[in-house]
Amino acid sequence: MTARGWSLRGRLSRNVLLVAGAGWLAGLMLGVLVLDHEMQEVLDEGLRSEARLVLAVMEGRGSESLAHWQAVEGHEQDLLLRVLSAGGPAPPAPWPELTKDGLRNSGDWRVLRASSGSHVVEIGQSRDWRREELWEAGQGLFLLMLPVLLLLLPVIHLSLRNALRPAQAFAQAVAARPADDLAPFAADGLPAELSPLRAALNGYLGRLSQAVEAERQFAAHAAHELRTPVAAAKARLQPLKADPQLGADARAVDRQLDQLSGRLAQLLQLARAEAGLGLVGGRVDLLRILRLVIEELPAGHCPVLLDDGDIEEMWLDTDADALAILLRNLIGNACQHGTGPVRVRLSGDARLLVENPVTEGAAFRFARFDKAPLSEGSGLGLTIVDHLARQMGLPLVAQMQGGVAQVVLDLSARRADLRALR
Amino acid sequence: MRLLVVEDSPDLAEALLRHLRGQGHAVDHAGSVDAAEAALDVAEYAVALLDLGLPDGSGLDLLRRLRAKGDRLPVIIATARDQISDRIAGLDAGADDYVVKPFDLDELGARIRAHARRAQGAPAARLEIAGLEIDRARSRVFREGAEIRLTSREWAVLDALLGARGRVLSKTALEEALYCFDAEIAGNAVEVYVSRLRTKLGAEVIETRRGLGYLVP
Repeated sequence: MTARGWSLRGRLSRNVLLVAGAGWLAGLMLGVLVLDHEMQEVLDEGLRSEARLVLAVMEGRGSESLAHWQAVEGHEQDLLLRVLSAGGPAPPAPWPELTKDGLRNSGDWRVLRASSGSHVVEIGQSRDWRREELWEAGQGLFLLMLPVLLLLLPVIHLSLRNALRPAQAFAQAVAARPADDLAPFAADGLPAELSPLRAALNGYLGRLSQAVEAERQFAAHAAHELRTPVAAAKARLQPLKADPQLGADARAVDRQLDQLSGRLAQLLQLARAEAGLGLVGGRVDLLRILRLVIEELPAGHCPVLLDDGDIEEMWLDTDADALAILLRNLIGNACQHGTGPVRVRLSGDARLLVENPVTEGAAFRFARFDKAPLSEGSGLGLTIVDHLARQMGLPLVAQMQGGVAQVVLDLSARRADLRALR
Repeated sequence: MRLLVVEDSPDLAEALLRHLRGQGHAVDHAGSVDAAEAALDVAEYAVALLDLGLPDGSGLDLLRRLRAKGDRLPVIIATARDQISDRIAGLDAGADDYVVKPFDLDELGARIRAHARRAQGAPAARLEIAGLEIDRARSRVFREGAEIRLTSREWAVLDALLGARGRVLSKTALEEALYCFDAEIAGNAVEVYVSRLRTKLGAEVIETRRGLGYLVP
């Protein structure tokens, strides 16, 4: 099972939300600070206006003075006013006596002292009241902005989803690509950040494609270069085989050439299997391949009875050559080392049984070049079968039972999902 | 008969020509696609033996061009390419047969004669019944060139009936044809396979003789 790993979109969503939230809080605090500063200025200016007004009124009324400080109507105890006539007694107030004009903080009060020739006006405003007003303004700001922040959540989610859509589409295209499709990925709509990834991936695909093509070319050329001279040699031997004096030797050489040709073919197959032929993808009808493989067995090699289980076709997702090499060696091995007809039986669950009678003491030999004494085999057939079955992910069970060799190849893992094509 | 051997290896071509001429055939040799096309333009051949890897092109392309022109000349591909994908490509391109080097010259000779006979309308192992072409040697059935796919058991029943063509085969005799598959045979197995064959091949191909059995007329 493949680990899913962490989600880029999830991490980005969390990070963006955290940063946006922190920024919003910082902005709110800054806003409250600015608001505080501006409120102080406005309220101070209000105190000055009131002081000027009171002074002007008092100047018009002569030398009367208010005997005591009093709260300005409507402000309860938040705003206090004290008017002194020059040289007169100072009525008590919640702040100490002031000697100079101007604004100052005095205990819990913000106090303004203003004077004219005959009067002194002191106006005090509760600092608690000012703080309370600021707190209410801050709360209002917070409550007004909170829905905006909550609204940001889905907006961030949608924005990130849209922004990451090309990356997600690219990832899906890579995941959906069949193993045998080595064409480069197009740059359509891909963001610049993913371009290096695409370029690197295309580089690997290019190299892989060249390697696969080179391997195919090599197999074709090697087969041509090796088989054609053998064919020519066999053809030249043909007239000698009927010669009374040279016939026996010619036939022996002919058999040796057949053996050499078989060995060359199996060495090439082993090389291809070890190069990863079984990992190449494709789509193929198992029964067509099975029939062709049985048909191409040398005439008179051994009788092979195919029981297709009344199945007309069975499509597999795998490379035709890899499957054919596997089947050729599996059935060919049964033919070569068995003592009777080979039965090949396919069942509906994509299990292929190959069975044949064998001599006592016969054993399966999967190791390379491992063969029984006096055997005319190459010691490669089952090695190739084992290699390819592993690469293709096909479980293979081999057993000897009552003088019968049985191999069951489970092909179900490679069964093609034809519904996807419909 | 007149044969065309398209083979670029001088050694192999010389030995092939000597062998085939020794069997009484008139044989022309072409070592390239161009030479083969020139020979095919001026002479009528009974069979062509075609290599795939030629110095100036692919024998497969030559075969495709030939078939595209409607030429039904029997072509046997004789090549070193032993991969199943090459074999499938060759057969799908219209080859009548595919042999891999090194081949036995006697067997090759037999194949050449069989394809020539077939082209002349006298195939030994081919039967024509009710618009069907049946190749018993290769266990295949065709209708108008298209293969009709039969399963192993369907073919076993048909083959048994063809082997006794014109005679009635009892249900027991047909069951024997199915015994080779080692599986348990249901009581109505013969009826089932005869019915399936009639569906695929046509009802007139197999006749029923009530109480006796079946026959292919």
